[in-house]
Amino acid sequence: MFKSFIARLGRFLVACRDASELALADCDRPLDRSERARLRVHRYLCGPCRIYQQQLEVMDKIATRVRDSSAEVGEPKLSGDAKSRLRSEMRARLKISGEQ
Amino acid sequence: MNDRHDASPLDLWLDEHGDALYAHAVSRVREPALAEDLVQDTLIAAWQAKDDFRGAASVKTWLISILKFKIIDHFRKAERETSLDAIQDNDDLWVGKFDETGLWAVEPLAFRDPASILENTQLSRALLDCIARLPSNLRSVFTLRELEGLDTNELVSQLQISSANNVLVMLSRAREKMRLCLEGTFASGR
Repeated sequence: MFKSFIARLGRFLVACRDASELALADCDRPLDRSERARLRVHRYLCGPCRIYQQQLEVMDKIATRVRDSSAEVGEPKLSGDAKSRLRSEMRARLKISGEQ
Repeated sequence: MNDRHDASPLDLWLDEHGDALYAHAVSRVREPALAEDLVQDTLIAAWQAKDDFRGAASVKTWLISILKFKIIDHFRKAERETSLDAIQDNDDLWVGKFDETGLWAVEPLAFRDPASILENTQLSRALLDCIARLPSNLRSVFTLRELEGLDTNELVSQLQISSANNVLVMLSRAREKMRLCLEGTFASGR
Protein backbone atom coordinates (compact mmCIF):
# COMPACT_ATOMS: atom_id res chain seq x y z
CA MET A 1 0.00 0.00 0.00
CA PHE A 2 2.83 2.37 0.87
CA LYS A 3 4.57 1.46 -2.41
CA SER A 4 1.41 2.17 -4.31
CA PHE A 5 1.08 5.55 -2.61
CA ILE A 6 4.66 6.42 -3.50
CA ALA A 7 4.11 5.34 -7.11
CA ARG A 8 1.02 7.50 -7.40
CA LEU A 9 2.79 10.43 -5.76
CA GLY A 10 5.71 9.95 -8.17
CA ARG A 11 3.41 10.45 -11.12
CA PHE A 12 2.37 13.77 -9.66
CA LEU A 13 5.88 14.94 -8.90
CA VAL A 14 7.37 17.18 -11.54
CA ALA A 15 10.66 19.01 -11.65
CA CYS A 16 10.72 22.71 -10.83
CA ARG A 17 11.34 23.51 -14.47
CA ASP A 18 8.16 21.70 -15.52
CA ALA A 19 6.25 23.28 -12.64
CA SER A 20 7.41 26.73 -13.80
CA GLU A 21 6.20 26.05 -17.33
CA LEU A 22 2.85 24.90 -15.95
CA ALA A 23 2.60 28.00 -13.75
CA LEU A 24 3.23 30.22 -16.77
CA ALA A 25 0.71 28.30 -18.87
CA ASP A 26 -1.82 28.64 -16.06
CA CYS A 27 -1.79 32.42 -16.59
CA ASP A 28 -3.13 32.11 -20.12
CA ARG A 29 -5.04 28.86 -20.52
CA PRO A 30 -6.96 26.50 -18.26
CA LEU A 31 -4.77 23.61 -17.14
CA ASP A 32 -6.22 20.12 -17.46
CA ARG A 33 -6.92 18.12 -14.31
CA SER A 34 -3.64 16.22 -14.44
CA GLU A 35 -1.57 19.37 -14.96
CA ARG A 36 -3.40 21.17 -12.19
CA ALA A 37 -2.94 18.28 -9.75
CA ARG A 38 0.77 17.93 -10.53
CA LEU A 39 1.34 21.64 -10.13
CA ARG A 40 -0.60 21.74 -6.86
CA VAL A 41 1.32 18.81 -5.35
CA HIS A 42 4.63 20.22 -6.51
CA ARG A 43 3.90 23.62 -5.02
CA TYR A 44 2.89 22.04 -1.76
CA LEU A 45 6.29 20.42 -1.54
CA CYS A 46 8.47 23.16 -3.07
CA GLY A 47 9.11 26.54 -1.40
CA PRO A 48 10.91 28.19 -4.36
CA CYS A 49 8.02 27.30 -6.67
CA ARG A 50 5.60 28.88 -4.22
CA ILE A 51 7.72 32.03 -4.41
CA TYR A 52 7.67 31.78 -8.21
CA GLN A 53 3.89 31.61 -8.09
CA GLN A 54 3.76 34.60 -5.77
CA GLN A 55 5.90 36.60 -8.22
CA LEU A 56 3.53 35.81 -11.09
CA GLU A 57 0.53 36.77 -8.98
CA VAL A 58 2.06 40.09 -7.92
CA MET A 59 2.98 40.85 -11.53
CA ASP A 60 -0.60 40.12 -12.58
CA LYS A 61 -1.97 42.43 -9.89
CA ILE A 62 0.36 45.27 -10.90
CA ALA A 63 -0.64 44.83 -14.54
CA THR A 64 -4.31 44.89 -13.56
CA ARG A 65 -3.73 48.10 -11.64
CA VAL A 66 -1.95 49.73 -14.58
CA ARG A 67 -4.72 48.57 -16.91
CA ASP A 68 -7.41 50.04 -14.70
CA SER A 69 -5.72 53.31 -13.83
CA SER A 70 -2.95 54.15 -16.24
CA ALA A 71 -3.27 57.83 -15.45
CA GLU A 72 -1.86 57.19 -12.00
CA VAL A 73 1.45 55.93 -13.36
CA GLY A 74 3.51 59.07 -13.01
CA GLU A 75 0.58 61.06 -14.39
CA PRO A 76 2.31 62.26 -17.55
CA LYS A 77 0.52 65.26 -19.00
CA LEU A 78 0.44 66.96 -22.37
CA SER A 79 2.40 70.19 -22.25
CA GLY A 80 0.77 73.43 -23.31
CA ASP A 81 2.90 73.43 -26.45
CA ALA A 82 1.86 69.89 -27.26
CA LYS A 83 -1.81 70.78 -26.87
CA SER A 84 -1.43 73.79 -29.16
CA ARG A 85 0.38 71.68 -31.72
CA LEU A 86 -2.22 68.92 -31.57
CA ARG A 87 -5.02 71.46 -31.85
CA SER A 88 -3.63 73.06 -34.99
CA GLU A 89 -2.65 69.74 -36.58
CA MET A 90 -6.10 68.30 -35.96
CA ARG A 91 -7.79 71.36 -37.41
CA ALA A 92 -5.56 71.10 -40.47
CA ARG A 93 -6.29 67.41 -40.94
CA LEU A 94 -10.02 67.94 -40.51
CA LYS A 95 -9.97 71.13 -42.57
CA ILE A 96 -11.80 73.07 -39.90
CA SER A 97 -10.92 76.50 -38.66
CA GLY A 98 -11.65 78.40 -35.50
CA GLU A 99 -14.61 77.64 -33.27
CA GLN A 100 -17.39 75.53 -34.60
CA MET B 1 -16.66 84.78 -19.55
CA ASN B 2 -15.53 82.38 -22.21
CA ASP B 3 -18.38 79.89 -22.44
CA ARG B 4 -16.81 76.46 -22.97
CA HIS B 5 -19.96 75.31 -24.73
CA ASP B 6 -18.96 77.56 -27.58
CA ALA B 7 -15.69 75.73 -28.05
CA SER B 8 -15.60 72.93 -30.59
CA PRO B 9 -15.86 69.40 -29.17
CA LEU B 10 -12.29 68.88 -30.33
CA ASP B 11 -11.02 71.65 -28.05
CA LEU B 12 -13.22 70.51 -25.21
CA TRP B 13 -12.05 66.89 -25.47
CA LEU B 14 -8.43 67.91 -25.73
CA ASP B 15 -8.70 70.20 -22.70
CA GLU B 16 -10.72 67.86 -20.52
CA HIS B 17 -9.46 64.42 -21.54
CA GLY B 18 -6.20 65.02 -23.39
CA ASP B 19 -4.04 64.29 -20.35
CA ALA B 20 -5.89 61.06 -19.51
CA LEU B 21 -5.64 59.88 -23.11
CA TYR B 22 -1.97 60.78 -23.23
CA ALA B 23 -1.23 59.00 -19.92
CA HIS B 24 -3.01 55.90 -21.19
CA ALA B 25 -1.13 55.98 -24.49
CA VAL B 26 2.28 56.59 -22.88
CA SER B 27 1.76 53.67 -20.52
CA ARG B 28 1.22 51.40 -23.53
CA VAL B 29 3.70 52.63 -26.12
CA ARG B 30 6.28 54.35 -23.86
CA GLU B 31 7.21 56.95 -26.50
CA PRO B 32 5.90 60.48 -25.84
CA ALA B 33 5.84 61.56 -29.49
CA LEU B 34 4.05 58.39 -30.55
CA ALA B 35 1.59 58.77 -27.67
CA GLU B 36 0.79 62.32 -28.85
CA ASP B 37 0.14 60.98 -32.35
CA LEU B 38 -2.22 58.37 -30.92
CA VAL B 39 -4.09 61.04 -28.96
CA GLN B 40 -4.41 63.09 -32.12
CA ASP B 41 -5.65 60.11 -34.16
CA THR B 42 -8.13 59.28 -31.40
CA LEU B 43 -9.61 62.76 -31.23
CA ILE B 44 -9.88 62.96 -35.01
CA ALA B 45 -11.64 59.59 -35.12
CA ALA B 46 -13.94 60.75 -32.33
CA TRP B 47 -14.71 63.96 -34.20
CA GLN B 48 -15.58 62.01 -37.31
CA ALA B 49 -17.83 59.67 -35.31
CA LYS B 50 -19.30 62.26 -32.95
CA ASP B 51 -22.78 61.97 -34.39
CA ASP B 52 -22.79 58.26 -33.49
CA PHE B 53 -21.98 58.91 -29.84
CA ARG B 54 -25.22 58.41 -27.93
CA GLY B 55 -23.89 59.16 -24.47
CA ALA B 56 -24.40 55.64 -23.10
CA ALA B 57 -20.88 55.85 -21.69
CA SER B 58 -19.02 58.93 -20.49
CA VAL B 59 -17.11 60.90 -23.09
CA LYS B 60 -13.86 59.86 -21.44
CA THR B 61 -14.77 56.15 -21.60
CA TRP B 62 -15.77 56.57 -25.23
CA LEU B 63 -12.51 58.31 -26.10
CA ILE B 64 -10.44 55.69 -24.26
CA SER B 65 -12.21 52.91 -26.15
CA ILE B 66 -11.27 54.61 -29.44
CA LEU B 67 -7.71 55.02 -28.22
CA LYS B 68 -7.53 51.29 -27.47
CA PHE B 69 -8.28 50.52 -31.11
CA LYS B 70 -5.59 53.00 -32.16
CA ILE B 71 -3.09 51.26 -29.85
CA ILE B 72 -3.98 47.85 -31.28
CA ASP B 73 -3.56 49.31 -34.78
CA HIS B 74 -0.17 50.67 -33.81
CA PHE B 75 1.10 47.29 -32.60
CA ARG B 76 -0.37 45.51 -35.61
CA LYS B 77 1.40 47.85 -38.02
CA ALA B 78 4.65 47.71 -36.04
CA GLU B 79 4.66 43.94 -35.99
CA ARG B 80 3.75 43.64 -39.66
CA GLU B 81 7.11 45.22 -40.34
CA THR B 82 9.04 42.97 -37.98
CA SER B 83 7.41 39.63 -38.88
CA LEU B 84 5.92 38.71 -35.55
CA ASP B 85 6.60 35.11 -34.66
CA ALA B 86 7.53 33.19 -31.54
CA ILE B 87 10.53 31.70 -33.36
CA GLN B 88 12.00 35.19 -33.63
CA ASP B 89 12.99 35.04 -29.96
CA ASN B 90 15.35 32.12 -29.70
CA ASP B 91 16.88 32.59 -26.25
CA ASP B 92 16.74 29.56 -24.03
CA LEU B 93 14.40 30.92 -21.43
CA TRP B 94 15.55 28.56 -18.73
CA VAL B 95 19.29 28.46 -19.30
CA GLY B 96 21.18 28.63 -15.99
CA LYS B 97 18.05 28.66 -13.88
CA PHE B 98 17.77 24.92 -13.28
CA ASP B 99 20.24 22.13 -12.63
CA GLU B 100 20.42 18.98 -14.73
CA THR B 101 17.60 17.40 -12.72
CA GLY B 102 15.25 20.30 -13.37
CA LEU B 103 15.44 21.72 -9.84
CA TRP B 104 16.12 25.41 -9.26
CA ALA B 105 19.81 26.31 -9.59
CA VAL B 106 19.04 29.96 -8.85
CA GLU B 107 15.96 30.19 -6.67
CA PRO B 108 13.44 32.97 -7.25
CA LEU B 109 13.60 35.82 -4.75
CA ALA B 110 10.54 36.49 -2.65
CA PHE B 111 8.99 39.91 -3.15
CA ARG B 112 9.00 41.91 0.02
CA ASP B 113 5.59 42.41 1.55
CA PRO B 114 3.39 42.01 -1.57
CA ALA B 115 0.57 44.02 -0.01
CA SER B 116 2.72 47.13 0.33
CA ILE B 117 4.30 46.50 -3.06
CA LEU B 118 0.90 46.85 -4.63
CA GLU B 119 0.47 50.26 -3.04
CA ASN B 120 3.72 51.40 -4.59
CA THR B 121 3.30 53.38 -7.83
CA GLN B 122 7.01 52.97 -8.52
CA LEU B 123 6.32 49.33 -9.12
CA SER B 124 3.77 50.19 -11.79
CA ARG B 125 6.47 52.23 -13.45
CA ALA B 126 8.91 49.34 -13.06
CA LEU B 127 6.42 47.06 -14.79
CA LEU B 128 6.16 49.48 -17.72
CA ASP B 129 9.95 49.82 -17.89
CA CYS B 130 10.27 46.03 -17.97
CA ILE B 131 7.68 45.83 -20.75
CA ALA B 132 9.74 48.36 -22.71
CA ARG B 133 12.76 46.04 -22.45
CA LEU B 134 10.95 43.04 -23.94
CA PRO B 135 11.76 42.05 -27.52
CA SER B 136 9.36 43.83 -29.86
CA ASN B 137 7.16 40.83 -30.64
CA LEU B 138 6.78 39.86 -26.97
CA ARG B 139 6.14 43.48 -26.00
CA SER B 140 3.23 43.72 -28.42
CA VAL B 141 1.66 40.48 -27.25
CA PHE B 142 2.15 41.15 -23.55
CA THR B 143 0.93 44.76 -23.72
CA LEU B 144 -2.21 43.92 -25.62
CA ARG B 145 -2.94 40.98 -23.35
CA GLU B 146 -2.16 42.49 -19.97
CA LEU B 147 -2.87 46.17 -20.47
CA GLU B 148 -5.61 46.12 -23.11
CA GLY B 149 -7.20 42.84 -22.09
CA LEU B 150 -7.23 41.05 -25.45
CA ASP B 151 -7.76 37.29 -25.24
CA THR B 152 -5.74 34.68 -27.09
CA ASN B 153 -8.02 34.52 -30.13
CA GLU B 154 -8.10 38.30 -30.42
CA LEU B 155 -4.29 38.36 -30.32
CA VAL B 156 -4.14 35.76 -33.10
CA SER B 157 -6.41 37.80 -35.34
CA GLN B 158 -5.27 41.31 -34.45
CA LEU B 159 -1.55 40.59 -34.67
CA GLN B 160 -1.92 37.96 -37.41
CA ILE B 161 0.02 35.32 -35.48
CA SER B 162 -0.02 31.89 -37.05
CA SER B 163 -1.71 30.02 -34.19
CA ALA B 164 -3.13 30.32 -30.69
CA ASN B 165 -0.37 28.01 -29.51
CA ASN B 166 2.23 30.49 -30.75
CA VAL B 167 0.50 33.22 -28.78
CA LEU B 168 0.62 31.09 -25.63
CA VAL B 169 4.32 30.37 -26.15
CA MET B 170 5.02 34.07 -26.62
CA LEU B 171 3.01 35.04 -23.54
CA SER B 172 4.90 32.50 -21.42
CA ARG B 173 8.22 33.84 -22.66
CA ALA B 174 7.13 37.41 -22.03
CA ARG B 175 5.95 36.60 -18.50
CA GLU B 176 9.17 34.83 -17.59
CA LYS B 177 11.27 37.73 -18.89
CA MET B 178 9.02 40.19 -17.05
CA ARG B 179 9.27 38.19 -13.83
CA LEU B 180 13.06 38.20 -14.04
CA CYS B 181 13.16 41.91 -14.83
CA LEU B 182 10.93 42.77 -11.87
CA GLU B 183 12.93 40.49 -9.60
CA GLY B 184 16.06 42.32 -10.70
CA THR B 185 14.44 45.63 -9.85
CA PHE B 186 13.62 44.44 -6.37
CA ALA B 187 16.97 42.81 -5.77
CA SER B 188 18.83 45.96 -6.70
CA GLY B 189 16.73 47.92 -4.20
CA ARG B 190 17.67 45.74 -1.26
